[in-house]
Amino acid sequence: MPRPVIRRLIDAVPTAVLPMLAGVGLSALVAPQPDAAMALLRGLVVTLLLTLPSLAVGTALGTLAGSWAAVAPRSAGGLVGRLLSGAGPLLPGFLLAAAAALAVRAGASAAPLGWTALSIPAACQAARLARPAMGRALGSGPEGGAVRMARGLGLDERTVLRHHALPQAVAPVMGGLRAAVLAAMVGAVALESLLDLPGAGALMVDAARAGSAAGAVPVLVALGGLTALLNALGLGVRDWIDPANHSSTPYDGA
Amino acid sequence: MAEYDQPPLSHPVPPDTPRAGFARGLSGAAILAALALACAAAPLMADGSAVHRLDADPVAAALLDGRGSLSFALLAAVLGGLLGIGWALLAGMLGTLTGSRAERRTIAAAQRMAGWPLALLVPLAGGLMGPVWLLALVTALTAAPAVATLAHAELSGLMRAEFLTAARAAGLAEGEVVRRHLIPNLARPLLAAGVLALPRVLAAESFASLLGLGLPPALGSWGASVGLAARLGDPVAFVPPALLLALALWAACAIADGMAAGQRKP
Amino acid sequence: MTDASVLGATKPAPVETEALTLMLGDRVLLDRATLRVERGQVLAITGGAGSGKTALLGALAGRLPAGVDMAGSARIDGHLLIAQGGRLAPRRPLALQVAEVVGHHLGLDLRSSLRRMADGLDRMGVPAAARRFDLPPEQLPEQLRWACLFAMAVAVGPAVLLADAPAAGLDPTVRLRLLHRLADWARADGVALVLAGRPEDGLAGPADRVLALRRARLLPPSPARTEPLAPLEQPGAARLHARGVGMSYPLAPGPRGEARSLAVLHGIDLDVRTGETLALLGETGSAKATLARSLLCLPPPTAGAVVWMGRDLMAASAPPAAADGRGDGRGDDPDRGGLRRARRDLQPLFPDPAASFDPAMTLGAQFGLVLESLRPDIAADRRDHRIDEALEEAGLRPEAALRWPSALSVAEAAHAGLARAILSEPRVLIADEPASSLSAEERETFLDTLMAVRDRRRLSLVLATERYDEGLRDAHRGVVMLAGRVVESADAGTLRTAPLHPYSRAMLAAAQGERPALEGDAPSAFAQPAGCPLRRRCPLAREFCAQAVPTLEEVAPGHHVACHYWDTPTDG
Ligand code: SF4
Repeated sequence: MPRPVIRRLIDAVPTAVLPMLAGVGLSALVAPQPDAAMALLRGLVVTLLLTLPSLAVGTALGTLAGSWAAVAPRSAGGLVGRLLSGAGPLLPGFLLAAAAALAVRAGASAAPLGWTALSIPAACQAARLARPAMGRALGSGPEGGAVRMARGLGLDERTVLRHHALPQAVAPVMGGLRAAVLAAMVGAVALESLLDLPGAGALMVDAARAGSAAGAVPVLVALGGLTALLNALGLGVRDWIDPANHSSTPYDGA
Repeated sequence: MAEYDQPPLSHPVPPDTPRAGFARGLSGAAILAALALACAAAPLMADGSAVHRLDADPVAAALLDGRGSLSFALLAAVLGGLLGIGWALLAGMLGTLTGSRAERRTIAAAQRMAGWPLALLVPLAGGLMGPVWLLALVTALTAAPAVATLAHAELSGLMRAEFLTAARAAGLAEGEVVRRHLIPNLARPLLAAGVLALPRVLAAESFASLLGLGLPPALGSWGASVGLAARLGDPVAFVPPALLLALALWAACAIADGMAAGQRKP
Repeated sequence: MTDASVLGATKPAPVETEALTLMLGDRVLLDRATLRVERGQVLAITGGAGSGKTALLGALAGRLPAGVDMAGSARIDGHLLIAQGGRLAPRRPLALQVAEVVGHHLGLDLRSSLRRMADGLDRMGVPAAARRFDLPPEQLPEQLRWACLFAMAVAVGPAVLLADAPAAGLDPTVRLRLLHRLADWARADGVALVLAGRPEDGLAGPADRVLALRRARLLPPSPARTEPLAPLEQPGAARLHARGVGMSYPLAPGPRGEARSLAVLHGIDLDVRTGETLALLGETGSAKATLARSLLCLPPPTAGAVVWMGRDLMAASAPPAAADGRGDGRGDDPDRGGLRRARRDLQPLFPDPAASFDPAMTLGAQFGLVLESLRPDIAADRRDHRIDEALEEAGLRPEAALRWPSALSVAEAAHAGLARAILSEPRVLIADEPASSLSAEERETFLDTLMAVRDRRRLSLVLATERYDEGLRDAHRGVVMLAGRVVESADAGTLRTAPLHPYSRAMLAAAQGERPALEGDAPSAFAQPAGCPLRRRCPLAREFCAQAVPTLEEVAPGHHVACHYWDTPTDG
């Protein structure tokens, strides 16, 4: 695992791991069922497996599509980017989860549908943030200065896009990752409950349906910890891909 | 001043994103208003006599559901917006009275809370607590921290504005500076921040109702109908409320975006 | 450079244009220009904002900005274009970006690219200690970033270097030093160098040839006004006094919880006489703006006293600041009345006039408010008339009162700011870089209007500016400031011809386009050297300069200098 990610994870121990442990401990103490703690632990893993891949894939694809929509709005990739960035608020995760549940009732298989349902909102969010930022980076405003300079210095278009324009599109996406994580958590809870997956969200909803605060509150605390964990991962990835951290100190002898 | 009419090329004005945002906000408002009207008029569309929700046709049923969803969202959004704005104003006031540390702490708390999955509280409250007004309060609370963060950013930006110094140079007393300059300029950004609560509470309520833990069935809600249809595997009952909900969410987001973009220009 | 061996009478110049015409929509930016820049020649093209410099450079470089059409021909050898703003990818370490550019043009690897870059930095006069290649550009000081850009161009060694607004935004002394070094390199290496910028950027100094882009033509520049519009009148008695004015800002508490503060203004004494124009000259970090605001008590200084017509303004402004938040006690407090009276007499001009207007009110409404507050003696039905007069005097049409601030252009906003300042019939205008947002002709127009207003009303004027010649042109007296201290004060004629302090000399040299005799860049406010604040850059510095802060001493009647070695010849 890259070093910045590990550093962020260590920083996040008090806000991420402690709530999860507290949730598990609390459910062992107060929950009505005897095996509640184990179920919660398993549920957290399921939720993590559900959210993390879809967030990662969705954000990456959404950023690329959104940036491409600013570079070549009429190409196929650009159209996808425009579609995603325009449709953002139309497609909240829980609604897609409901659609996925409907499809599963009709006979589709659950896992790929679930991942897709969770990754689409993340992609929409990323595209919505990346597209205008990329447009500004390539435009004639002050934010376009770096690209104009790179072109004036004679760099080829590929390098300009890759190193001078794209980072400016990625930066706001990374800044908006927290909102994407929240949306993914909500979507995951809806998905687990509707598809009867053994995730932590489903545990919480079941306990809440039964009116049992002792069953639901520990799960909520643990889910808060999971959110913090995902946020920390996001920050780590942001540091990792930040070009400023790819220091060239070994060549400083010049 | 004829020579001032040239647009400076080396400092081009940014493309009209504020205008575009404004247009989007306007269309969002129009759609939301149309939805609200349609929902209010839905009982007339149903077969005239007493409304039997289950045997009414799905579109009419979805419109009927909208009454619950929209009115609850409006209530919770007003509550949440007020809570958030009050929070930001409180922070600002603490800042002027007791120093910037208290202000920073108050706002840092809101920022930290905005990163917490507060929306999960709503189904929990729906399951554990009874009355609708409590649910509305919890829903409003989930939106308040985000509103407070944005409102505070606007507030502190405005407090540093040069025209306040100019007003002091004109000999206006502090109270008058606040009354004549600060409040008129604050109303718009604060409203923009408050509107941010609308899409959030609508989404939170629909999410909770989808799980069957939101509004009581008597009130009706798009989320509840969508959830029920998904469980039953009934696409005909699924599509109308889902579409209406998506449309309402889009419109609420567009209004919030449009307000945020438009408030930069008077 | 690559075809330097090919000699002959037909050898083309590196930059040649033939009837080059540029159009933006249906506006002609450039009309049939024929231009030739030889090897080793430095050409400066000046023009105000929007005059089409960027489009011209773009056309030369073969990258027309969007929306600009071109006719005629332009031929150019291998070139680099340094775009406006001097931005690089903000987060990518500089070393990588340099290596990318140098490697792209010369086919070198990272290590040799950086070695060439180091040579370039030597030629730009950047000391080895300041070279932090592994940092991203956004963490480098502006001055170092520009030096690195120029060094990158030196490392590549193109046949033609086009620079759009090079080093704009840097302090004049720093900018001129860099530009001279760049021009030296171009002449020595036979590079055709084209600099484009605003007329007040001082590009003409290092250039061999200057062309002004005006009304779509490239013409020889018209010399700027160097004499006051009308002969200056003798000032009267001193009315505004500042005694030991100091300003410090609280910082976050230190590691052991002790209170800390940053002093930016150190005990300034100043007298402004009636009808006198006083230029506060200084660059970034000189605290001239802080001093100007302290004179207005906006906010009041943290030390010393400001006295207007025998009344201590700080005593007047201090108590109500705490008491006024609650009650609307208009006029019932004698102290407040005193402050209000002083506010009526002392009016500011702001550096960003557009931001100094409330966006939620028309100009007329704001002006009405000013009159209501400062001139209760003017009846409400006479206010509009007064506003129209002020607008006309400031060079605007009376209809401007109906406009919203966001609908004003920058120049109109500046004039509107002037109109608001003279609304209450003040005695003193305190202007902090009032024309900094304006360029070229707009700038001259505004300053001429300001001076005309001053002469008509016999106003005192305190003019804070970083432009040495422009500030002193219309002034009786000048005060040169450095790092929150006055380092030289004398009458304007002396400062314009024979300043004594090394810093004043450098500012004068920069203003005249010559090479300032200062090295390195200004230290930040948080890392001021002990002793004389100039000593790391000063050509006269000796060991003693580090031990004691020089105090102002009178070297001739009315001429004060703060330097231990002011009487040492510069080239000694
Ligand atoms: S005191 Fe020393 S360092 Fe300062 S200006 Fe004079 S000679 Fe230079």
